[in-house]
Amino acid sequence: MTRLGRGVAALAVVVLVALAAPAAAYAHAYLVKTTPTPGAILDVPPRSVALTYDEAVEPRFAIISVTNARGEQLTTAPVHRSPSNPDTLIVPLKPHLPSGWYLIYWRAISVDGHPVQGGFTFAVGPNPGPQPQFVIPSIAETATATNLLVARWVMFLSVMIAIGLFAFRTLIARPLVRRVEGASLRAVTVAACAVAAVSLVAIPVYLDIATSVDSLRSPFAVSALVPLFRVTAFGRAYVDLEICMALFCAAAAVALWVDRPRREHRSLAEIFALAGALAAAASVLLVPGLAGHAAQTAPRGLSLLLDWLHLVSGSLWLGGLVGLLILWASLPPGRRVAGLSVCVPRFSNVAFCSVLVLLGSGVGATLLHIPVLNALWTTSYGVAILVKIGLLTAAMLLGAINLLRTKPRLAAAREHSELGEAAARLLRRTVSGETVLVTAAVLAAAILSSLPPPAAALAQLGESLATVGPGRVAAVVHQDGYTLKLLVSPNTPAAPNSFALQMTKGGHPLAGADVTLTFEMLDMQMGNEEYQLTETSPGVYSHSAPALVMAGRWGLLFNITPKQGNPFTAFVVDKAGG
Amino acid sequence: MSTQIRLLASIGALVIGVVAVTVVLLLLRTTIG
Repeated sequence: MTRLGRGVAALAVVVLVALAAPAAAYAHAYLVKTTPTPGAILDVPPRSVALTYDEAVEPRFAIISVTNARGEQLTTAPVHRSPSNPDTLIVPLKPHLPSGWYLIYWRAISVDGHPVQGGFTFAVGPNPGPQPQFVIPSIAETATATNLLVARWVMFLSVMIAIGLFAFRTLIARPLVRRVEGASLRAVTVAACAVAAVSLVAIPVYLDIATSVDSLRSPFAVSALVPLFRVTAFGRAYVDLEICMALFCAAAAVALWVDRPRREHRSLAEIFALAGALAAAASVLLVPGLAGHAAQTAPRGLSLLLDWLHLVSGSLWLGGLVGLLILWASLPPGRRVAGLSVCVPRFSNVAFCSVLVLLGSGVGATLLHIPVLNALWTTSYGVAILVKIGLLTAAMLLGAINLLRTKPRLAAAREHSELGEAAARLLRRTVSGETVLVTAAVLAAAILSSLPPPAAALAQLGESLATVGPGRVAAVVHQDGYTLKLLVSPNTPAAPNSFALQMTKGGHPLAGADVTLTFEMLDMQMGNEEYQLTETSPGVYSHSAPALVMAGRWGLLFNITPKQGNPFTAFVVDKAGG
Repeated sequence: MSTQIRLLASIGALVIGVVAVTVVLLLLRTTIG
């Protein structure tokens, strides 16, 4: 088998292994059981509130707020885990709650670091009176706080540039020293070390800020935050990122120390050290995927592979651009053109392949994360993808100028030296522009990876018969020859709502049908709730439930089995709470 | 700097690389295992 054939076979094995990895649906944490139950009217005031989730939620990052109609907080101690069930969180309440309605509002952090929240009401009776309109406590989603985004951006940039600069120094620019008399790679080496040092500070700073935001503490309360670092899967992954980055720095330092670029062929020692550093770099670039959306998106093996390829190609591109700028600035003016004419053609080839891989992996990841095309412009996540695509496309255009104009001019400068200076100036301009655009694209990626991906249920939007709400709903839709009148009242989140469906065919009520209603949150991946509707009068089916646990778009799927005739479904999108 | 020290250091770097890969594989196992 040829070398190329072996490479292709190895790649095929990797892809097959990735595709064969277990595939499943992964959701954000959601409630499966509550005590008291939503909408319950209790004769005896409860002493505590217990919420059971579908996964073990960390109590130190969870909030359970219990308030009365005046917004007064009624919990007496922090949230703690139930000794009998690790998935259940408990918060004690003030004793002897008076008669009236109460709002339970909760927030938890999912395994990918995203906050999820919801709420419902209960009452202490026997005569709690009409349910008041509660004020939702200000427990805003915090994954996109500005300081958190900046910290994430600096961390991604420093890690990618450090690894990319190391690859540029050892794999692309190495022949420069041998081919151009008096040229040195010292500036690139120093820059790589400096950026690596920044990344070793940026990772724990980001982890500190993320942990402080999630646990609602000050980022300066370091002694309280450090013990929380390894409490969540997200935190554990970023601690491992710091460990892997430190290992990469150590291996890369040895590789740079033993490297003798004046020799064309590498010694055994140089190959060992380089292999160690590249293996550590490859490990570092897998961790963000394991800590984020990629590890939560099915099929996970493919999703992680695409994320890794995306980061590897992005690092090579960005690090190479920064490396070229450093070379441009550090080479003596008399040797600048000669030096660039060695490095630019080699980098252009690598950059071209990196851009292709970046494109392919980006498109693949988008297809996995975006359930339906219009989610690209109807969700924040999709808009962040479009911005990133725009920035990278502009950077690619500048890259194309380098490939088609600067590279041939620098090659021609070997024989016509007067062409060299102009080509070097053009190169500096295009590479500077490209670097700024790719750096901005990394910011878009930092925002993107902080936002929850659109729920898979969004794919059903195209099948909806109508979009209703916000506010009280009385809408008529037609399906399979039936006329359906949907009534939702008051259509308020975190409160019991009445859902009624009045069905007629040819003007006659459709009595005796079996009707179930499934609620699906369209703005966030959550579990579904299903209720059986009861026939309250001929052809009118209704149920009252606090099913809209949070504000946003809800998919209401009616499964209708008439007494005579074929079963059919009706899907309506309801905007709850504006 | 002798050749032996360079070789020893580079073997150390290789081991460091293997340790980094192991750390990530363990993380992979706990995340999707």
